[in-house]
Amino acid sequence: MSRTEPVAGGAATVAEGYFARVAALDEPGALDLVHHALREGVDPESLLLDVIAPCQMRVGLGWQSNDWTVADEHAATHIGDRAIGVVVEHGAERTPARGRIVVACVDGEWHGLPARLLGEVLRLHGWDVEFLGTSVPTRRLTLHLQERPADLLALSCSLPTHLVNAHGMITAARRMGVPVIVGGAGFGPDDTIATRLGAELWAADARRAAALLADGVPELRPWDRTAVPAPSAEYASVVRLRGHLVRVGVEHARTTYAALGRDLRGKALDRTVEDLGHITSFLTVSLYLDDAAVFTRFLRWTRMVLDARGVPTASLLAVMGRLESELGDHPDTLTHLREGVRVLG
Amino acid sequence: MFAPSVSGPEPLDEESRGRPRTPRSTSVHTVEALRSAARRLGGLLNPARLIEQIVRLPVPEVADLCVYFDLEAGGGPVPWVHAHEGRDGRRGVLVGSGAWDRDVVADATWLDDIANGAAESVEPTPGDPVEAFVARPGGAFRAVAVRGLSDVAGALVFHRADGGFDDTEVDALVDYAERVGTALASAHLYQYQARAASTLKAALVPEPLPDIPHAVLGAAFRSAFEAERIGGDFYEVHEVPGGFDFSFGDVSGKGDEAAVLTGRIRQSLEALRLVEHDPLRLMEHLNLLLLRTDPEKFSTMVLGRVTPLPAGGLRVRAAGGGHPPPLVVGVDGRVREEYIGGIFVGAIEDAPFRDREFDLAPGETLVVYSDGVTEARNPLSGGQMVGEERVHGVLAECAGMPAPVVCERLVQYVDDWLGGEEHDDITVLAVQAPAAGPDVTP
Repeated sequence: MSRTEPVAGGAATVAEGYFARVAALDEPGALDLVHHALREGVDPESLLLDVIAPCQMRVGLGWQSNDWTVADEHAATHIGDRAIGVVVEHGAERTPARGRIVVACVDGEWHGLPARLLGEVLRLHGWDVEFLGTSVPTRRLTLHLQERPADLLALSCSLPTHLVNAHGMITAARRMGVPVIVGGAGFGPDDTIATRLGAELWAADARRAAALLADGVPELRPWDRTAVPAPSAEYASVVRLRGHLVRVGVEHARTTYAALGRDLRGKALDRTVEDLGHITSFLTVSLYLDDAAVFTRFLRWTRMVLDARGVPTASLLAVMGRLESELGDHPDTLTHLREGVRVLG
Repeated sequence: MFAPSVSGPEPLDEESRGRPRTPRSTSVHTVEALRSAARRLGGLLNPARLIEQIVRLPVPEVADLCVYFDLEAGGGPVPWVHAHEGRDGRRGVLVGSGAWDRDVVADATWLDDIANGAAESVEPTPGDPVEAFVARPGGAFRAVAVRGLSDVAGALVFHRADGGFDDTEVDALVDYAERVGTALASAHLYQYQARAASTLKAALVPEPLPDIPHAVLGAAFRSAFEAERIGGDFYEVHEVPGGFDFSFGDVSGKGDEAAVLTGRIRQSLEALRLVEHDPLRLMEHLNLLLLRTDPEKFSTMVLGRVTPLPAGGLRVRAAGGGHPPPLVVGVDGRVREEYIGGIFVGAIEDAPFRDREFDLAPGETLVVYSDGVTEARNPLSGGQMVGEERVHGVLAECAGMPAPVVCERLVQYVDDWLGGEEHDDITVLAVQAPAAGPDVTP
């Protein structure tokens, strides 16, 4: 399909100007630019995928490298949302000629932009698309698919910690007889996790998703109970222990703070609980999927974020040590933890 | 005569007949294939999708054609869904649908036998309208009854171009129809419940916020009873001459009962607004009205009227009924509380309500939230609640963000805090005075 090739030149020039305006949080300027590009005949799909999407990626990287604040990131995302709206309005008269696709973010997933972009690209390819929003609860999704059956569910997940929820939603869609395509950074770099969780299709990005669906939606995979991953016994046990592990981690941090003559409380305490929550959450998901790469990818990313902020990894390694000693009777978990330490070391 | 339907059955052509297909040499194979198909029907809860799978799964292992006739509609045409092997060089199984008119049905005596419960398994006689599903008469047809909860729900017809069905196979078809009936009954029950829930939801889900000149509005919520998106919190914004009204409340209790009260309050407010505009007087009237209907149930509430100021900014006149104080996020990120006071609405006869007037400078955001926000508990820190201090902290980082983003950010923070735990309704409404400057797009 010619559509799957990005339009060079025009879109590339727009992309630079657009990013500059978003970086300055100049919403009217950014939207004007998109309006102008559309009038100039720049392909709407190219605007979505070669201008708005890469800008959002750069904003995310900006946060990672500590150049952007969370507030900046939110404001930039809001501009991205509005810009998508401008592109959508441009093609508003189009009548969908193909089947109905429901696009949703996994429960707990608040990064809505990738899913919206996908939805709009599919719309441009003639699909009748409905966007259910960010963090869609599984029960709501089930009822929705029951009320208005769809030909396909497109599920977006940016953070692997929501993959357990993703599994529930894929199962729910299957019960409604709706095949599923999944995508987003949460599913990792290939289709391993998607297949494991029972999705019919996985796409690395919106263009590839549209290409995969060029010949129509996939058939529902046969219901095979044996193929449903059964999380290891250790998964259930570590989930139960999560509260305890976080407490142990907090006590450890308290001691470290005390040694420096400081008191761990207020925002610093919340921060510590949140960080420990993330670490244990990634650990449990990697156990659920029996895929240590989920945990090591997270630690590699964490290391990058810490480096950018000049925080030594020593404290993180110490926490990993505490987890190892707490989970000594969980051999699989220890393997995952040790692989994690190797990445940090 | 047979009336061609929405997407009429395409007869099997020579090519597909000639193509080699999965051998089904023995009845053992048929029995096994039908058992496996029946197992795969298990989890499906959507009736339309389920019927597609019901006809799709036996093809081609058991038969080259499978049709489901839906007898539940009663009276009118009989809808059918059929699956057959691909033709014109297309591989796989194709599914289509249509309907038989009454006069066609009249010619199919086997269908009548099945509908009346007179027969469980019938062989349609030559010349039957069912032959229109295949290119030329011949081969063997077999129809079996599908029983729902009590009555016959439909009929399944199988066709084999080469050879017939032996007794063991007919028994297996009847068994399959039995499983199909059970699966369909549970799917229909589930659909019935889902419809009931969505009807309730349709009446109570907050309306989308209107576009109001001179103000930026935002709202976000996550209800305790997720699927139905209904519960004890409510909010509304209405444009009125010279400005707009807003209401925000949190009724006592949870689930359906709370939802019913929410609906009553919203309707009452709508009616009272016809005769009263002052938030405080409105609240007093509402209090009496709710006391009359059910003194056991009450609600916390903030009612406000907002008018634009000539020099930019907004003037808010708000009445309070025991609700957490609204917060105002300043342009510099400072967060101030606009305490109103008052007690629950609908609890006591001479309830003292309060009202206040305050201004929002350009760029300032008024945030009203339900106690589900502050009382959300973090399972990782021994059930600690979010509390007001953290809400202030989050909002302080939201200075300069558009109102919808502020609301989403706060609800997102609370959701992360909960880590997937049970919670009360979490609802946030924001009213923002557009920022000053040449860039303003009101």
